[in-house]
Amino acid sequence: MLNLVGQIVLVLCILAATGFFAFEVWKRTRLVKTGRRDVIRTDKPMLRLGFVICRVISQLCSIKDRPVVGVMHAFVFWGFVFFAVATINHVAGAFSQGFSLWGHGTFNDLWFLGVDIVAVFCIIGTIYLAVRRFIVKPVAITKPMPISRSPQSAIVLSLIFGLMVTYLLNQGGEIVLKGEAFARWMPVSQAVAPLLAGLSTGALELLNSVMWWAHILMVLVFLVFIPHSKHFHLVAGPVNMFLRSHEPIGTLKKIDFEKTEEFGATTVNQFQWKSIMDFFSCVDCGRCQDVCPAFQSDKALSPKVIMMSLRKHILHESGNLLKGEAPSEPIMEAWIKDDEIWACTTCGACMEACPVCNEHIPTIIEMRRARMMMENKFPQELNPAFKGLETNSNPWNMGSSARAEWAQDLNVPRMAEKQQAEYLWFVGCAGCFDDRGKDISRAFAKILNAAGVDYAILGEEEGCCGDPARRAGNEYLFQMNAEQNVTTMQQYKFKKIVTCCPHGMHILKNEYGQFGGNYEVIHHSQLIAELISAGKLKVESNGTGKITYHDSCYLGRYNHIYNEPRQALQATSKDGLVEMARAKNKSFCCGAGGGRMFMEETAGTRINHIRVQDALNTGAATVGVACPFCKSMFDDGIKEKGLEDKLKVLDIAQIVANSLR
Amino acid sequence: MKIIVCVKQVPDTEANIKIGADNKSIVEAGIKFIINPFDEFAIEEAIKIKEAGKAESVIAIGWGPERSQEVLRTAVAMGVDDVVLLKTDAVSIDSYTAAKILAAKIKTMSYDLILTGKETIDDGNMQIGPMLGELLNIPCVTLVTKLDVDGANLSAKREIEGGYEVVETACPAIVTCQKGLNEPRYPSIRGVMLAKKKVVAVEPAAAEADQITVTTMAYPAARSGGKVVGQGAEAVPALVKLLHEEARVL
Amino acid sequence: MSTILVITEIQNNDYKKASLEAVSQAGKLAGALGQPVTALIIGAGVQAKSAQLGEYGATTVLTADDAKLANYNPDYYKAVVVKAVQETGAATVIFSATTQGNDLAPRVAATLQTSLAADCIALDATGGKLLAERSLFAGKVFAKIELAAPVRIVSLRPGVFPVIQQSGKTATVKPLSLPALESKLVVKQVSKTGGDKLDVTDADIIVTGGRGMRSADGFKHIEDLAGKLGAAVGATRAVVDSGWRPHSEQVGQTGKVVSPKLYIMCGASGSIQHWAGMSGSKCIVAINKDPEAPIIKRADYSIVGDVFEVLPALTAEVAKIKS
Repeated sequence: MLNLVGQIVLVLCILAATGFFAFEVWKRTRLVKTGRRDVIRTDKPMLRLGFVICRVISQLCSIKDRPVVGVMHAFVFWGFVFFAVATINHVAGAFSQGFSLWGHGTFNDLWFLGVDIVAVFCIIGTIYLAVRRFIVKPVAITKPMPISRSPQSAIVLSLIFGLMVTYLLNQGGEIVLKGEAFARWMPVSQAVAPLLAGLSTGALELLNSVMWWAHILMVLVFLVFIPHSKHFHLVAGPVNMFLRSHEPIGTLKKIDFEKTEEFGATTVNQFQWKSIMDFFSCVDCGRCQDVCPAFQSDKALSPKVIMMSLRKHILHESGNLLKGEAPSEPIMEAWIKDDEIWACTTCGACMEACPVCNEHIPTIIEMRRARMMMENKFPQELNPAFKGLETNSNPWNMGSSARAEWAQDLNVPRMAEKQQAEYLWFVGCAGCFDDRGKDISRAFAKILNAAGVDYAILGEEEGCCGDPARRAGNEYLFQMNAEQNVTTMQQYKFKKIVTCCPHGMHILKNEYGQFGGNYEVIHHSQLIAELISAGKLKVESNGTGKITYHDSCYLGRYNHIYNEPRQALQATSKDGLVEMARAKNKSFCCGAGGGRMFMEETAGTRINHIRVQDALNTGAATVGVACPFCKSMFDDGIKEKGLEDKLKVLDIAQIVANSLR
Repeated sequence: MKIIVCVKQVPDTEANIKIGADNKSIVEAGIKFIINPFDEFAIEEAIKIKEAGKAESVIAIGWGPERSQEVLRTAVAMGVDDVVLLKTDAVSIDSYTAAKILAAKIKTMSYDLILTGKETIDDGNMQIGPMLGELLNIPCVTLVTKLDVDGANLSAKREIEGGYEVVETACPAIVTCQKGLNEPRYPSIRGVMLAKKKVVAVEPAAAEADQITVTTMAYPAARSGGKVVGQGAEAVPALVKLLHEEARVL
Repeated sequence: MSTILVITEIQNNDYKKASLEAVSQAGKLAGALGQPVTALIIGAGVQAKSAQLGEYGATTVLTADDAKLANYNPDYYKAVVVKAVQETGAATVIFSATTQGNDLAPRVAATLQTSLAADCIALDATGGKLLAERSLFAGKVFAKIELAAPVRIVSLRPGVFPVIQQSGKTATVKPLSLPALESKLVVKQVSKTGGDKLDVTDADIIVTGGRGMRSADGFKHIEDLAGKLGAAVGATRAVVDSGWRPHSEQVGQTGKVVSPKLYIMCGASGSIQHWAGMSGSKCIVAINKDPEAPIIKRADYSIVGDVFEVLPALTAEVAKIKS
């Protein structure tokens, strides 16, 4: 117990630190509220709460992508949780001699045993993390400089380490002063005690007192420091996990052109509030950039840098924003560069990897929207694609009357003739106009006819699904495409839509609802797998060598379709399926998503070359794909690397059509 | 400086053109109409001159049927200040009629520079610019690939056979725009939204009777498409002969 | 008496072939229209060749000879043609749809307050009526048209009408009394060297190479052919990405969009990104070793074979017909 002066000083210190902390939290909350408020994330609260508790307590958020680092982080996390409680005891002890939250029974003994053990693990964790950050220096946390906050980490790691050391020294001193009985359940503290045994009682009392104050002051300094560092994730992270999206990764919100004249985010307060929440939650861990195809191929983009730059930006603007005024600077050029936002393939790997459930893609697209629609600044190569989508409803501006030419001489029924069918086959632009895509369409038509499926296509009535326009920020053009397709499809009766393109599948399934088009949409690989397992499609496995399968982002991470494509391929391959090192939800993008198919890729390595190498490393002779854009990217990559003799790329529909009995 | 841009709406280059029952006109249903691509160069150049602070206004004049309002909206979306449509009922291939309609309107306006495309891709006529020049009695420079405007004068790089020449003249003048002059901008969506609300002034055109009329229309013989001339170097003479005599491109 | 007036062009001290075509066609119509053919020559020092036009069907040749007329100036030339029309009382005026003719004919027509039937591919006369045929919508439709103007002005597409020569015939040569020659246009610079590298967007002919050219050195064959054809060199995205050619030569969706008269594609399969940039070409030729390559199916003419054998042969053959 402290004397009165000590107690007053302590109370003042605690009030100052917590007051400061509360002010900073309140300020950030108000900054979050300056954003747009179209997103609602308080539905299903119990489900959300359950998710947060499971993720945080198990520390799966951190462990799932980096097991070793994650476990070390868990040590530190658990040390921190125990010590947060221990600190209450610690402070209460200043006012009431011998106070303990749990009284003085067995539980209290066990509690102190736990704290002792946790302290050791926590020390191991901090040392490991310090060695990793300052000696090993992995790219994820040190690049790109100077955005990484290593000095902050040095402070925080020192503080945590200090908390452990001061605690153990304080307890060790107590043991020497009070005897072994005091510490039957404190093995670690007991081990420290002999180190202090030679000191005089006065020296011990002084040491104890210093350690006691050092400990409590470190806690308070930590409290003050947190809001200014990436360690604010201690507060914002769990909240952000609670507020996570329940929609598929990368699903975009509709802009109501009747209601707003400001499209996208030109200034930082034009982001959704959830995006701002993301900025404050970012941990700077770099899991996102480790898996980002743009960063990994040396483009200007790192998802974490986007988050951290925007955090810095909004804090910089907090004076203006909290006065209700406009920010002094726009986002682009001052804080984020064009090369960053246009490098994104919207593959969703960053969102899949993020431990605090940040949503990078909507944030990037909001900036693209503003750049495209408000300022007319976008890669000029998109110009012909946009014109094509506008005039002929396909990004290559091929004549829309030629949309069904691929089906000539094939027995492919039209909706206009049948009026109704079980499946409406939405062929998509690549399948209609690109030679490599047309091969997929022809193969799938062969399969559907062989299995006797009741289906029809829209033919010339079909238009682009609008995915390239929407992902490139041209929401207006996308809505033109979407509304036209919804109107067309309203004329006909069908149970399900089937597509050969994961982009069309995702957008029809998950985003057309915004325009009154609610459909059950499946991918052709799902239908093929179903037809095979139902025995409607007879395939024989032929020995064309090993096959590896490339998960398309929009099929896998976006819509969690991992098994059906593999089932279809397994049915056709005698030599079996081999997996690439990066597969399923960790699959690496081909480079075509997010409108990148229609942009130049001049910086760094080509993304498709990296992915072709992944496939080559498996030793497979064939890469099976499930997306016409992946097929093009692989095909180009194989040719550019001169690997035509070693590797070929085929869509699942082509492989299955070739194996029909 | 005041700039006038003359723009026409034409069927998309990729449009599937079908001949009507009268055998002398085309079926417009199902055709996507676009702004004449060469007129887009003209609009872009006018806006660039304005953005450079060398012009205070850009007005686009369209001619043709009611549907032509759409391309004037595109012009507004790209950044043109005001538009007017000189509405005609019939679709004509006689550029002299069109030039007279435009000249009659332009004579009532004040201007320093008129820009238009070197041709319209529907009838393939390359006449509007030079004819307007005569009707308005101002100099006309055609096929321009680079334009510098300096107060009362302009300097234009224009295409000639086997090369180019640089021509100077005094304003007011008319310039017809060739590919290579600039890269037309994609209209900003903000511009498109504003253009949607724009009321296009429509004036009936004082059209005189055409002196050129279509009597019948027909489709060309189907394009040979995919003719493999032969294998290897020995097929070369046959290929050159075909290019020379059948395709007439050599 | 009324006449058919043909406006001829001189190039390198000789008549342009297109002009001979126009005079020949006028000669064919002379009977049907009951009008003799008068050819007009404009230039500096042009008399020497004048009488020769009689062999192609001209009865009379008018010469407009002045130092100011040495190079084409639309205002001077227009004044000369208008004067010739007025002096001869021509009821029909025929131009060639060349670069010069396309510039000059509409100016003459507007000055004479009449219409112009441009770029005709057939021209006929029945019962005193002038009937022509021309392409619309970039050749998707052909239209037969009728001219009802008092002075009927047409221009003929070069290379379509035959040259008809009857040796021995000569025409009467008369100088045209020149009108006042005034122009507000000042030509500051003329460049006809042809040495300048042609840009793909400006070129009438483009020779493009793909990955099948194997290396930057392989493009020497492309450059040789392009040089002989007066063509620009184009490249596919893969070639540009490999650093063999500069980005300025890239044709396609994310490069330049082109629509030349002749597009020759060598060693490239013709991906849709490329096709989107050159599908507007009037005539497409493909040279590719793979008979299954999409470009072979889509090209107007193709040769299946090794580009390194076919290209030198093609360059030699083109050199032969050019000389």
